[in-house]
Amino acid sequence: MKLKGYGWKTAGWMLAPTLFFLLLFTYGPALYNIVTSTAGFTRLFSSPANRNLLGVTLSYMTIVIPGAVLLGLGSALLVDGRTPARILARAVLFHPVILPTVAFAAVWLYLLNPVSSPIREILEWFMGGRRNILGSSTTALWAVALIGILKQFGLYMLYFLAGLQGIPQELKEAAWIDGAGRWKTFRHVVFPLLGPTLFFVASTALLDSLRNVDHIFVLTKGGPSDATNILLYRIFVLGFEYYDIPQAGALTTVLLFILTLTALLTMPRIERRVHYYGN
Amino acid sequence: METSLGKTSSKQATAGTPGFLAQKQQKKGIQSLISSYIQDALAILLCLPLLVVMVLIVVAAFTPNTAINRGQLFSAFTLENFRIALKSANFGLLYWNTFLYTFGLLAVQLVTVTLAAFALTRLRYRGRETIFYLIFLQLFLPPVALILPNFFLLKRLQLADTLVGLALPYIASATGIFLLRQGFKSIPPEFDDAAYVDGATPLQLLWYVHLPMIKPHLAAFSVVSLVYHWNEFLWPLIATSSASKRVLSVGLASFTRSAESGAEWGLIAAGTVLVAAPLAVLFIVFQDFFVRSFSQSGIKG
Repeated sequence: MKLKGYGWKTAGWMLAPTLFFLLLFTYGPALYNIVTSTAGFTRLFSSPANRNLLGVTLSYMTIVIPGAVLLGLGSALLVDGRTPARILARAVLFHPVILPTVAFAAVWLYLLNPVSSPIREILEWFMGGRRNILGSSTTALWAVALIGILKQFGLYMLYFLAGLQGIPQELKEAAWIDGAGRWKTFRHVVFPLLGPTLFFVASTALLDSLRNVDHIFVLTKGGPSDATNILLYRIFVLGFEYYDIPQAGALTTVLLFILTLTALLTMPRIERRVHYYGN
Repeated sequence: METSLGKTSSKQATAGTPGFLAQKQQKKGIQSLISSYIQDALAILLCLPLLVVMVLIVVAAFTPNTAINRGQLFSAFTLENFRIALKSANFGLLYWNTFLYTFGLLAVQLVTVTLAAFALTRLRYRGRETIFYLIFLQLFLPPVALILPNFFLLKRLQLADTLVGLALPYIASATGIFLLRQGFKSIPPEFDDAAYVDGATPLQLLWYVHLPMIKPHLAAFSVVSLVYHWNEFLWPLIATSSASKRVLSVGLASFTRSAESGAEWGLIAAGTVLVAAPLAVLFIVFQDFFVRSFSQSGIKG
């Protein structure tokens, strides 16, 4: 007798739509792009904007990833618990995640403008005088990165909160009865157990920093003098404003290379977690 | 959590733990109550800047532009910004296009994602592991990384500048499949055995037995998908070009560009409020549900 739920007969049609669109819009285009983009590589490093590109992208990621992860972790530790104050704080810290990035960026465009910003006294005190923060190549990248962090860290806070709730209460109580203070309990009990969550959040933050460039469109358009011109934004400009398809294709291949590398490095650990929680 | 811990421990202590421990716990209980209030205060302090930003932008939206440019918020009230904003961009059409795109896509996704997750968790066949990895890898290859080749593909398919074309790259959703997989994995295999013994087909099993049990996961995925696509900017900017197919975020960006050159901050604030309002209101009303849905979207298996 043939057992039900076995074999390809049912699984085939159930998986068909997903596999079809996965091949048509992810693997197909990715392979097509890699194969056809070889021509663009020869000219890739002749333009100064491109030479700068990887440095700027790396700087942006170096600020955003640790910044958003640490802010997410810190917030999670502070808002953990069901007191009214913490529930309110949690909602406020999370709300940028559900706003369109372009809307969130438009808010900061107003807040950071040097003439009529409602927080200009704070900014002037902070910057030591009136400055056009988004218009200066030394500060623009920091501003754009900070806004990137503020937009996204609320999601990481939630992941950390879920991780914190997965830690058995008895372990914390045991440490606490043994006389461990708050810091010691965190350092020796909570933090080690958050390891898998931390790893997962860090890889999510890495992906987000590469794919979320919407705020650049509103705030700086890659300027001033390419100071905020990061990889995916540059792909857009080259491909859809200069119509330089070979170069945009070559940069897409670079992006796909970074993403695949990230996948290969992180997948084994995340996958274990997937299987571990699943079974 | 700290508060309740403190309370229960001191209650237990009085209920008869050995003396020295009871004393220690009593002391700890008061300490942790105080530190719980300090933690509350710090939490509020941390969220204060974002709260201020939120208030400032809403106030700016209702302040005349001349007052804003003199740096005088909270000085006068007007609805003029909204009137001009609604006149200079066709917000009705923007809302409608965004609504069609997000809900249309979600309707298709719910079907494809449920079937795929069911096939990945409840059916047995050769090559299941390979397909698992094929879908898993897509988490790392988001469609925005492929804007260039996907745009040319849409043109080739004659679907450029259509809402259908806009939705196609998202129909296979690894995020959704992994979220629903959590739900399917939590259902004991005995349900399947019983259904098959009663003569059910796999599809009947999915429809009558599993679907009612994974409703929370379907709801969580719906929220995550709706929020993501409602807010999406880069791909719609590329995939659609005519004004009649434009979505909210793209409309806001072009609107902001023209208003910025004239330093019309009141107008920008009003536009921002109009774009963010639907989700912001839903978030305020269903706060717990949103938070729960998003925390489930992290991969847990």
